[in-house]
Amino acid sequence: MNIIEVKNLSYVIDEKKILNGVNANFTAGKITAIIGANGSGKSTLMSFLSKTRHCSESVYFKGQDIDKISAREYAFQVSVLPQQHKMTADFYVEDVVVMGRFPYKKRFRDYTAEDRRIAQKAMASVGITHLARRKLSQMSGGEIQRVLIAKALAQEPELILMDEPTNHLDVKYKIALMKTLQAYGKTVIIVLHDLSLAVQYCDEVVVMVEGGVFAHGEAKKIMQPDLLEKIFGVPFVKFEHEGRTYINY
Amino acid sequence: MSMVIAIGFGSIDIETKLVAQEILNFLRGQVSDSSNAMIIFDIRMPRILFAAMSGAILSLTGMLMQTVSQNYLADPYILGVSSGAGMGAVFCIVTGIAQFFAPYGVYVGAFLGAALATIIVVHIAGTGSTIKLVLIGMGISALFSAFTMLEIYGSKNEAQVRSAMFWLMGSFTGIQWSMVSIALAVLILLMLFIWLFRHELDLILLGREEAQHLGLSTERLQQMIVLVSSMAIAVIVSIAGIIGFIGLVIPHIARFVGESRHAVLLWFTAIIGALVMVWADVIARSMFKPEEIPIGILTACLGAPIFIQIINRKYKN
Repeated sequence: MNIIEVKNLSYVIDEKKILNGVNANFTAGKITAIIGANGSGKSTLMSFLSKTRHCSESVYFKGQDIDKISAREYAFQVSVLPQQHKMTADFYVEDVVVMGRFPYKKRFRDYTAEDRRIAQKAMASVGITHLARRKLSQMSGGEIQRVLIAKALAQEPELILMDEPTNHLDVKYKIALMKTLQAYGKTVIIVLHDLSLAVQYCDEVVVMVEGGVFAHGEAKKIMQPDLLEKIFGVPFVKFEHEGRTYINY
Repeated sequence: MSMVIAIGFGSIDIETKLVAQEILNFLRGQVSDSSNAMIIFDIRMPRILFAAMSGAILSLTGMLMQTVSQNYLADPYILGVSSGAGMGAVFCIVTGIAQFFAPYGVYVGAFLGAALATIIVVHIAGTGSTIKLVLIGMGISALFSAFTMLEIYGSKNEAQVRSAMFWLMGSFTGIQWSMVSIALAVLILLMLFIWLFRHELDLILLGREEAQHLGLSTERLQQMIVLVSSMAIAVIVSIAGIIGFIGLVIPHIARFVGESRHAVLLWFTAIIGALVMVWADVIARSMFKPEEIPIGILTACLGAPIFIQIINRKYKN
């Protein structure tokens, strides 16, 4: 079953085609990586999927035009982790994570004990339980990133959209994040630059070139050195080591 | 406690013990007609209560503006909202519209001026860079102050000029009980609004996009904040004139001693704002007694250096 269907989505700014008739179906329950060179339209596509940019009759969530779904309704089912956070306040970590429960909260009421329990669970799954009473100002970029991932998980969504979530993370947490997403077992659409991570942990991959989908299919089949060389313009090697696939340039 | 002690200060000092005595007498139902009692109940008490409430209101409005613009330099004075209210109020007085809508003419003028200034600032600056918002706010403030001066300059009536000048400086002179009840109503409404939307306001601080991804309609909330804070500022400006920097500085202190969640920040901001304003007013009344310094001049003298210090620290590198 497709959870998201993109039908002929185009987007033009200043006569420059950022997205050029994108067609893609994202399968429910799978982790799909979006890869491509800089400026290929990955983040722009994500901004349409997350309803940050609006379009009509081009993106469908469970068969319904997302333009017709309210922000609140969408927040019940989809959580979004943007490329860069713009937090200005110095909250405690646990207070940020519990905000992932906002769509479920009754109007004018506080977060319930159940909300706090779910937030605790989300913190545990990304290994930040010990940071719960820490303020954001005392944390590194990587730690803040994990707080935001915990918040996204606390939202208990059907679909998680992540744009370069591994940006600030060191290798250990990159792998931990991908494992957490696998264990979560729901649909994930994730923009990734790290091709080894994509081939190891993602079921499917969408390859974008100049605002269009160049290839789409099973990650291990699609991500071949000759195709990657065509997209990124440098030679790649793909090798197996102890049962894992690695892609390097 | 602070208020009881503060009542003692002024052009005529009254000992705290006597103040407490008079208040106790009053509470027991014994009405005294001593001059002390008259000073305490008719002049000082309404003034101090109003000062406390306006301190809380200005601080809470500053807090709201800092949240909605995600910018810790925002404040009704710096963003030109107070100047807008001042211009609106003066316009109504000078043109005589105030009399037409009496007794609410000045409030209506101040509200429209405040709302106009807020809408212009929010529309032009959006939630772009901190400096852009502050600079545009200062531009708006300068423009509205110039209009106010023009209105005053153009007026032939000396009484009107004096009453209009008062808006440019801010003062708690001549506060009456009726004004205290208006301020109390505004304060209760403002606090209720912030309490009801405490979680939504927290969400805005995650960033506008993030808040929208969690299902919050930020635009509607922003419109409500503009409306509520313009009303609050309009009431304070129409009664006490332009009092700057309180709305900027107090939320910073409140965040420092408390925390960033609005459910907590609300109380710290209101209480610290009230205390600071009561004591600023004591200084204004007693520093050059029997003369009095307009409170707006005093808060600017104290607040401007702190404002510069905040910018200096933020943009050190």
